[in-house]
Amino acid sequence: MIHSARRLFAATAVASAALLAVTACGSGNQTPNSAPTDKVLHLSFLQDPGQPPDPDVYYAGQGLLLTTNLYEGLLQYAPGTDKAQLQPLLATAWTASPDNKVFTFTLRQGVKFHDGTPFTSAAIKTSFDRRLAVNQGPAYMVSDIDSVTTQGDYAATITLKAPNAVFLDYLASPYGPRMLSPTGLAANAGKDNDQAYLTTHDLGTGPYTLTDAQVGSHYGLASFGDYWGPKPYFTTVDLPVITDTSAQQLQFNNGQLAAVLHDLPSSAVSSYIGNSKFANYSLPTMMSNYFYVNPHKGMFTNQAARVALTQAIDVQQIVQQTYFGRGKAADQVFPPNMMAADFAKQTIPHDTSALKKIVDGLPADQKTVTVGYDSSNPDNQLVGNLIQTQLATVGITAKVQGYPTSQIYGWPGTAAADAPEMLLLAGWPDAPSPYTWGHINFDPDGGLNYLNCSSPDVTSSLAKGRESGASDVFSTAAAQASATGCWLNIADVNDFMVAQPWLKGVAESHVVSEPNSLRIAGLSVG
Amino acid sequence: MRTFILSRIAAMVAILIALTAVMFVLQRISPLDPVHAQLGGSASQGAIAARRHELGLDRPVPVQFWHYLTSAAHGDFGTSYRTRRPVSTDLVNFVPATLELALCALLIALVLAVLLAFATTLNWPGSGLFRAVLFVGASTPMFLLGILGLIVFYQQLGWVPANGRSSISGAPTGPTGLLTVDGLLAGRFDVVGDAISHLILPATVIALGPAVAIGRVLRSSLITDVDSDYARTAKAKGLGPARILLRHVLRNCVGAALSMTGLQVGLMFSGVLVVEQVFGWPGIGQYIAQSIPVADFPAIAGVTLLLGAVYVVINTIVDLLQAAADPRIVAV
Repeated sequence: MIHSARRLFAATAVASAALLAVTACGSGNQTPNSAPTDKVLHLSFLQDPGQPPDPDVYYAGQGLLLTTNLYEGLLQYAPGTDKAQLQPLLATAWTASPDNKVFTFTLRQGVKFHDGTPFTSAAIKTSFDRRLAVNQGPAYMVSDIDSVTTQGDYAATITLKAPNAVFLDYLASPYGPRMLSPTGLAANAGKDNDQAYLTTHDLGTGPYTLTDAQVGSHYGLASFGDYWGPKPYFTTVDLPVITDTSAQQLQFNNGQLAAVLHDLPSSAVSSYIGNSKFANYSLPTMMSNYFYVNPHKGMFTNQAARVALTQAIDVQQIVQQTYFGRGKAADQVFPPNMMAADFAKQTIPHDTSALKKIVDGLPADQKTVTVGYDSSNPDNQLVGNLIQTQLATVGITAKVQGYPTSQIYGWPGTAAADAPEMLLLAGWPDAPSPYTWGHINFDPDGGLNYLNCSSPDVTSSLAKGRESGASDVFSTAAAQASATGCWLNIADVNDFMVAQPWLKGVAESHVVSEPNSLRIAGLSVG
Repeated sequence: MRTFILSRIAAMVAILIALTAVMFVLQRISPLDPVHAQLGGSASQGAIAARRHELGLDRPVPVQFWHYLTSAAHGDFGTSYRTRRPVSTDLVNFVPATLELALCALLIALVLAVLLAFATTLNWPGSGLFRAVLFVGASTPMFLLGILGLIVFYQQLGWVPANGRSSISGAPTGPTGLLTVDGLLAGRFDVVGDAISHLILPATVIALGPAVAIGRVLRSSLITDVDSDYARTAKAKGLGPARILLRHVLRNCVGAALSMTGLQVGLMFSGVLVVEQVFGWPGIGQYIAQSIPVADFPAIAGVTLLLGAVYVVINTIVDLLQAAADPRIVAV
């Protein structure tokens, strides 16, 4: 018995060694993976979306894939283009008063909620009220509504408390108010305005319904049989949560996933661009990588020093090394595809001489700074490292440090004394209006004014733009913001997606204002 | 013995209270702001204040601490800021996955440890290679080992799945939450097989380090005792070396290995946290990893308390077992 155990052990050890040697020498298959015939679309999340797929709660990135396919609002933006063009969705026609205060809508007929009840004008006020009651991040979009009146089942008028040229953009925004079934809301309200119910169910009208929502593990969608629009090709969408990017790529390469829609690291982007086995897409977004300068610390309390700093950053080098194949150097102050190319131009020549002159005049103990970045964003760590190198050439010693978003979000509204001298963050606007971006980034009460820089001129221009929506007014605001030296738009960042070659409709299903996401109903096999 | 047990239980309660206090202090001095992280950049000051009040974050810290402590004593760890569900519900969902993974890893670690100790003590053929493979595996960073395992056994060989606990929809979800056990109880052997295929690679990755640690301690004891008088007597009686090890030496040597196993089980949970990320394992490792960046304090505290309790309980059990094996320990 003992001898046979010894023989077995020896054989197993040798076999294991041989197996490792053989498998280590294996090579990847370059044949394209075959298309599925079961109409199941296998995608994935890298990390959990982080918030429930409740349209009045969800206020982050990758989970837009859920909320935008489960729910619909009155308006939407056209897919497949780099222009944010308003399109009908649950409203088939609309008008705005000249002062942007009163909006009328003709509603689509024959639409059903996922609970089987018909969509009528009654859902508008109920949905807006629910958003206000939940009072989470996106609630501000309906906080200025004065009244909602209905004219029969299929017409409604919304009146605002004050003019707002951006309101239609709010309605079309991926974070904008969605229509939820009044019947379903009433039946499942509980003590939290349906929040518990909508973590695992949905009450929308979209082409898909939520069939599974296991936080941190798996999400699932099924096509809605009574959908008012064209029937989606894929009847089921399988969305496991994969928490490691290497594991995600392995599964995609093996054909287990139809596509990877977000957060591919730079190294993977390069490898997929050169790989004919897969299709890759660099799709337009409104995502910017922004550089914030702290006007409350050290040498950068001086405006001239801040402006000199923005000039000393070699943006072209950063973009080339970080966003190859999926971005370009920004040439507008506002995020890309938001305004016509002639407006809000950002023309900052690369020149280190001014900053070097300032730094040379400083005592040694004032030449050390910290470049902060969002620790969940590896791209910005790379950008920070490049800036560190660039600053070294002018005599500044920079430390690159990651901060969690929960810490970064605590800086706006404070003196920012605990914040670093510089901060790198990638982001996109809630709605494709320069006001939404300018207000939250440049105004003193803006929630993304991380380092608390402000200028009365900028605030005044933005307020005028909010009323009129005029592009030249926002151009003025942009120039005033640049002059503070507090903000530099480094890169226009695309959505880089890879897909199996048989997956059709990827570019056509992508919406410029909805990063990390696709309209799944537009996908098919071909 | 009774006094010994009571003193250990009292120490355990004191440690958990101290752990909770430390977490509260850390939360207080932490610059993280969960409310801003939840509501985002466009939230009004009113919405932020309302949410802060709703979460009880506007109360004095001692009040928050007392409230947390008394609630936790009743099994209420608060509501996760991220998942918006009671932390206790989240733990009930996530802990079985981690527990199943850890138990499987422990089983593999013990088997490998005994094999390592026996093979190297008795100089079995191939034992050098076996020891080398184990040592290389144990000294490789766990995430790297996980990725390597995926490349070899998922991508190249296609033997195991890459992600999650199960590929079968509609697998039984109760009563234990352990898929292997629930599958057996439901007579679903397909579920059991599928669960094992998902478990085997991540569990082995976790097991290598503890296996080497336990195996080395066991081997060291075996080598010392194999030359002892009683072993020589057994050999003189005509018993083979393996039988001497199994029948006589192992029982005398298992104490030290048992202590090391207790220590490794605690450390194994830290390995579980890393491996869950690589294998998309929906356990408490993933849960806490996603809770930390958004300052989800109730979730972080819930997991920390749970892991602290597990660690203390396991070591208390080990102490009790050792005390049972050697009553002189109680006297000390």
